Formats: sequence, structure tokens, C-alpha cells
Amino acid sequence: MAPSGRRTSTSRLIGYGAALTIAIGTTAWLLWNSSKDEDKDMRATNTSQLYKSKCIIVTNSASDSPNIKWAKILADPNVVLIIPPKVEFPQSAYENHVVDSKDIYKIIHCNTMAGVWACVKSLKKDELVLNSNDLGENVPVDIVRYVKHISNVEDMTSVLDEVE
Amino acid sequence: MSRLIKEYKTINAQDDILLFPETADNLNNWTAMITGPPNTPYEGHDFKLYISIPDAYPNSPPMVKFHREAMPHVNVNYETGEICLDILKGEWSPVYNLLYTVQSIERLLSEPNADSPLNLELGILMREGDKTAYDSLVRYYLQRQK
Amino acid sequence: MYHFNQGTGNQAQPSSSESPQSGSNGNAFSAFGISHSNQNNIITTENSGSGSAAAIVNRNTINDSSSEETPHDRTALPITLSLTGNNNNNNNNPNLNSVNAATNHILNVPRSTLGAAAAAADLALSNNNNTGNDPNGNTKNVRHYVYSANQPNADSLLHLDLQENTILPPKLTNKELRKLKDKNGLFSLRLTPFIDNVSTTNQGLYFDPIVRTAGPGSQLVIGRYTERVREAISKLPENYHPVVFKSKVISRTHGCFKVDSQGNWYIKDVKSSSGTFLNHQRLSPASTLSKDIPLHDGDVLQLGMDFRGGTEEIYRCVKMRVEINKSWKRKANAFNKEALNKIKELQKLTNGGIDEEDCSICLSKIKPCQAIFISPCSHSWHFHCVRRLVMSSYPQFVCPNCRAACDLEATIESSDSEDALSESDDEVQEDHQIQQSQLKQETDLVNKNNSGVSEVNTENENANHTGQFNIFYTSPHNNNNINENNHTTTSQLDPNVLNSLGVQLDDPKDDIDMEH
Repeated sequence: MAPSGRRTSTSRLIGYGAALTIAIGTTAWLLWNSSKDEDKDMRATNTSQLYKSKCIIVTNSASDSPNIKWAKILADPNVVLIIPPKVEFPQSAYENHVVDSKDIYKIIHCNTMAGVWACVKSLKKDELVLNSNDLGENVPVDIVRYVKHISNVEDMTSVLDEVE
Repeated sequence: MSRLIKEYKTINAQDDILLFPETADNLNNWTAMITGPPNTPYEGHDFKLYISIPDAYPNSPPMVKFHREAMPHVNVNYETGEICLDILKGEWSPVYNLLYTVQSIERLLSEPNADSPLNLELGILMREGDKTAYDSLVRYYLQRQK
Repeated sequence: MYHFNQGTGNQAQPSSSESPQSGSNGNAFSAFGISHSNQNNIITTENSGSGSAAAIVNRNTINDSSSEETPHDRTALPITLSLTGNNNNNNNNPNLNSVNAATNHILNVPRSTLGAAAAAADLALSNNNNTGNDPNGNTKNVRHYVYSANQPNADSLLHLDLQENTILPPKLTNKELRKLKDKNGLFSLRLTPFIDNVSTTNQGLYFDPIVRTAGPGSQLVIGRYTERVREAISKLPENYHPVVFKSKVISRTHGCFKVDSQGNWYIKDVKSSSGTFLNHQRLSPASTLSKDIPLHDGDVLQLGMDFRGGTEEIYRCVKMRVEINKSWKRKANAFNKEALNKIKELQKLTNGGIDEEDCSICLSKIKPCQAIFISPCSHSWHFHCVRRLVMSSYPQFVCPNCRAACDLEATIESSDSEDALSESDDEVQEDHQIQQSQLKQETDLVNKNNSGVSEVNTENENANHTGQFNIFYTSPHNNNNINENNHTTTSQLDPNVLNSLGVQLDDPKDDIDMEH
């Protein structure tokens, strides 16, 4: 054990000081690392978007909108579009809807709503973006087990514009 | 053992199917390459099969699976590559051989069986009759790997 | 009880093959090892007494002609195994004609006969001497020798020590000798566990059938399976292994089989502690060398006696039945081939012309002298191949070829034609008669079990049917075959078919040995 006396108290203090410094240093380094990661993340997917992969159910309101830059959205390898029945997509009417042929596979057409949900469950993306009013039915409750986050928005442009 | 050797000779004589053992000495592990049949979303893609021969062969079936996360199919477990096929289990007969097994798996690609799904969502799609969704989803998975 | 040689010159060479009964009653036996020798070096293993065994295979090439065919024969004969104390370095220089080298160390073979290999042999011998070990008469080193088919002086190598009143079988002609040998010219021995139903307590150790092949002059050691043995034999093909069992009742060197140039096999007890019994007679008292006793086909051999009532497997004696020189494998002859051809033709007719001569399970041809199972749907396989399938779901049977299901227990004789499945009354009647006569013939043949094939020919009026069912009798000795026959069903034969074939059997007196 340490010798007793004045010297010991000094050395003990020094010891404590050193330990504290190391602890602080480590914590600071860890925080810095994680913040670096966060920065990277945020830079990649935008500040508000913490989810990397997206599954977008394109309903009429979205497909009718000329402003959404689908081509760019589809360039992202982590995005997939699901087209429910009776929705026409991509619409040749809008130039923003012209999609690169190599991204065509990311557009999944479905003939039934059950098919839509099955696809969503199969894909297990981080985020599901849809407009449930447009769809005409509610999101099944068990979908939450398959995706991390559901963005049920009226206007898709707000969410999708940020994917740049 | 001599049965495997005989099969090896027969298979070598045929050119149209790609089925070969790991090494010429070790006939207990084989690899096969099958191509997606026409008129299926698998068309244009090749798939690797891993075959392992148990000691009791031919009295017990060979163990076949796809590469993991490579085959989206109703009767294939996507994550593990495991295949659910009757002749690989209860319906195996010692008169079947490796060639026939691989050909059956090729047939399975064009005729999935909704009754014993290992891929639940694809099974649902099939049962719902949503062929477009099924095809698109399969194509999505296949293209994604490339 | 057993201790290793303590450096008394127990060398690993094949040099010390003085036969065990040469009067040396030195130390106890040693375990197994393999010695290696080749053209220029005889590697000796000096026994350091540490008991660490090494295993090196003695590889001398034999004349090329006999070493081709199967993977088994990649190992060149002769081979010797013996105990070694140390590891050695190996040189693999195959030796042409070094059969002679092997013999040299044993006896004084006149060198003049050696020819080109004489020099090599000399070297071998001299190297031998250099190690300074005198193998003579020091130890009970019972070596396991497997010689090749052309071993000269085979009989003198054996040092047979026979009892005074032993009468050996007469010398065989070359043709007869060839019949006894397999395609590599070696004699063979098969040991199967003898299930002794009489004494329920002494079950005997169960083992898979053991088949060994060896050329004339060979000596196969019988002993206990130990780690050393395992190492020693790991590189050898199975039919050159010594005969070893995993039982503590059996001594490490318990006995040996010998075979002479006439294909006669002998058994000798080499000072085992628990004895060897041939047909229930003990060969020699404990730890005593016995004489060489001739073996006959079908003899029952027991090694050791049960210890502690044989409750545990390692304390069980080994009881086995001996089969000699491929008696369990009859060669094809004209009679069998004829019978097989009839079967094929019948199948062709009933199957609409599909020629099935391959067993679809093992993909080999269906040949004479093989046990065949024919299902009611007229598909046939080797019984060996289909047995598992039959046994697993007995009495139901689903044909692997056509998936037809059937009940193997269904009575073959239907009492009246009323419940016939799909046949006319007449046909059923005739079938019934055929089956009756077949059954009768089966029992007849059972009675004439060992009388050979020629007897069948005498029953001329039944000649129609013998062509079909003789196939089932592959090994006349084995009574179990009879039971199996009861379970097999024959295809429904159209008697018209039989008549149209004009089934007549050839005279089996012209036995042609088809393999030569």
C-alpha cells in the first residue's frame, strides 16, 4: 500500500488528477468521434432525416405533383418506391418523372393493397413515407414492426424535397 | 462412394448444366450454377447452389441451398438460402441424383409453391395473386445485388 | 503383463521374420508399427524403449501387372507391420522387383534368381546388418505380412508348424487356384460376427464384416486395436490391415492367420492370454504358442473369453465365422448369366420394352450372383441397395422408380380368384400354380443347400421357373437368404411369357469362369 504521510497525500492527489484528466480526455474524444459520425450522417441524409433507407408509397397526390424530382430521389440506392393499384407512375407527362433506366427496378408496382403491405414488410426499410388519406385506408398496425419510422404526410413534397 | 463417382462421370459428359464438385477428390461438396428460367423475373440472372452430400447418400437427400441473401423466392429463405422442396425432404428417393435435384430446383423457380413458403411476404403476394408485385419485388431484390 | 522391448534389438525391419515358433521365448509382444524399406535404405528403428510408436509403411512395389485396378491397390505390396519404438525418416524410392528384397531378409534365397534387383536386395540386406540388430530368436515379434501375388517361396516363408496328423488338401491345379484368387491374384478371408443364439449371455462383440486379402506366404496378425495400430494402418487400404478388435479380452498379438501358396489358410494362437477357440476347441493353453491349424470355410472362431460376463463391449470375446477365398462371392458362370438374361427379358416384356439393367440406386449393372429385389411393379434393384428403403417402411413399400405403393406382407397366394386385383380368373389360377410350385422349389432347394447348382437341372418339368428364382441364392451357405426370399415378391409373371421364351437352362457342368 502507499506509504503514509504528507508525501502520500500529494502523490495521491497527483494520482487522482491524472486519472481525472484521462477520463475527461477519453470522454471528450468519444464525444468528438460520435459527433463526427453524426455530422457524416446528417450530411448524408439531411438534418431532419435520420433514417437512411426509405420506402415511399407513391399515391396520386405525389405522382400528380410535377415538382418532386423523382429522378434524383431514385438515384439514391436506399430508396424504393411502391406504386399501389390505380396509380400511374412514372408519369411521362412530367419531366421530373423521367427516371434513369437503371433505377427502374426500384419502382415496384402492385395490383392489390395487400400486395403493397406485403412489399413494405418484406423490404424492411428504415422509414416509410406515405399519404394514408390518399391511399384510402389506414396503415396496418403491424407495419410498425417492419419499419423504424412512418412518415404519414399530406404533402410529400415537404418530405421528399429534402432528399437531395 | 462409387455412386458419386458414377454421377460425376455422367455429369461431366453433359455440357448443358453447370454442376461440379469442389475438387475432383472431394465429391462430398458440389456447386451448381442455374440460370433463371425464361418468363420469370429470374430470367437473365444466375444463381449459385451449394450442395453437400451426406454419408447416407443416396438413401438420404443431398443438402442444397442458395447463397445467402441471393434468392428471393417463395420457397427459399432469403437470409439463409435454405430451400423448401419436397424431394429434398420427405419425397426423396434413392433413384434421384444430383442432376435431377438441380433441375428440380430450376423448375421450382418457375413454379413456386405457395403452400410451404419460406419467404412469407412473397408467399402472401403469391396467394393474393398479385403477380405484378411479386415480379417487381423479385426483380428489385435481384437487381439490388448487382 | 505385456511390456515393450527394452532395446533388445527389436528392429523395425522386415528382417526379423523368423517365425514366432522358432523357439524364442523372449519378451512379450510389442505393439504395432510399420517399418519402411526401399531400394537404398532400410530404415531401422532402434527401440529406445520409450514406447513411442511410429508408423511407416513398408512399400515395395510389386510387379506392375497386378497392382492396377482399384484404389485399394495403389498401395504396393508387400507390406509388413511390426512394432517400432521410434520414428524414422522415410524415403520413397519404389523398388522394382523388390519383392525379392522382402524375401531376402527372411531367408537365404538364392541370389541368382533375383536378376536386376539383386543389387538392391543386397543393399537392403546389408543395411539391415548395419543396424547391427539380430532379429533371430529374440522376441515374439509377430509381424503382419501381406505379400503380393507373385511371392516366390511362399510356403517356406511361412514356417508352418502343423500337427502330425494334419492332412492337407491335395495340391490344386492352376486353374482351380485361379478360381480361389481375386482379380489381383490374392487369397481372401472374410470374417463375419457369429451370432450365437444358443448362449444368450455370450453375445460376442459385434463388428462389421472384415475382408482381408493377401498373397501366398502372408501372415495376418490378429490382435487388439490400439492407438499404435491405428497409426500404423491409417495409410493402408482396408483389406491389408491386420485383424484387430476393440476388446480388452483380446491380446495385443493374439493370433495370426497364414495362407500358403495353395490358398490354404491356417490359424495359430501366438501366446494369447485368453485363448483362441476353433469350432469351440481351444488351440493352446494360455500364453502358449499353438501349432498352425488349417481353417475351413464356415469355421467358427472365437478369440478370448468374456470377462466379467461380457457386460461391457470391451470385455466381450469375439466370435466369428470364417469364409475363405471368396466363397461368399461366386463368380459368374453360364448358368447364372442365363438366369439373369431371362430376368431381363421378362422385364422387357412386362415393362414394354424398357431395358433395365442398371440398379437405379447404385447405378451399377445388375449382374449374376447378386441378390436382387424385384418389386411388384417389376422394377429391380440390388437387395443391398434397396434394403434400407424396404426395412424403413416395411411392410409398405413405395417404389423409388415409379412411386407405386404396395404391401410386402400381402399374401402371395390368393385363396380364390375372386379377390384378384385386375386379372382374369384363368391367369390367376395359373399364377397360383406357378407360385405354388415356386414355393415348393424354394423349399426343395433349401433342403439341397450345399449340393450345388447342378442339382437344379434335374427337375426338368420345373425348368420354367427356376430361371427366375435362382437369382435369389447368391450364397448358398447363408440361411438368412431364405428369410429374405420370403419377403421379396416376384413380379406377376404371365405364364404365356415364360412359355414363349422357351425357358431352358444350360447345362451348368460347363462352368466357364467368366472373369478370366
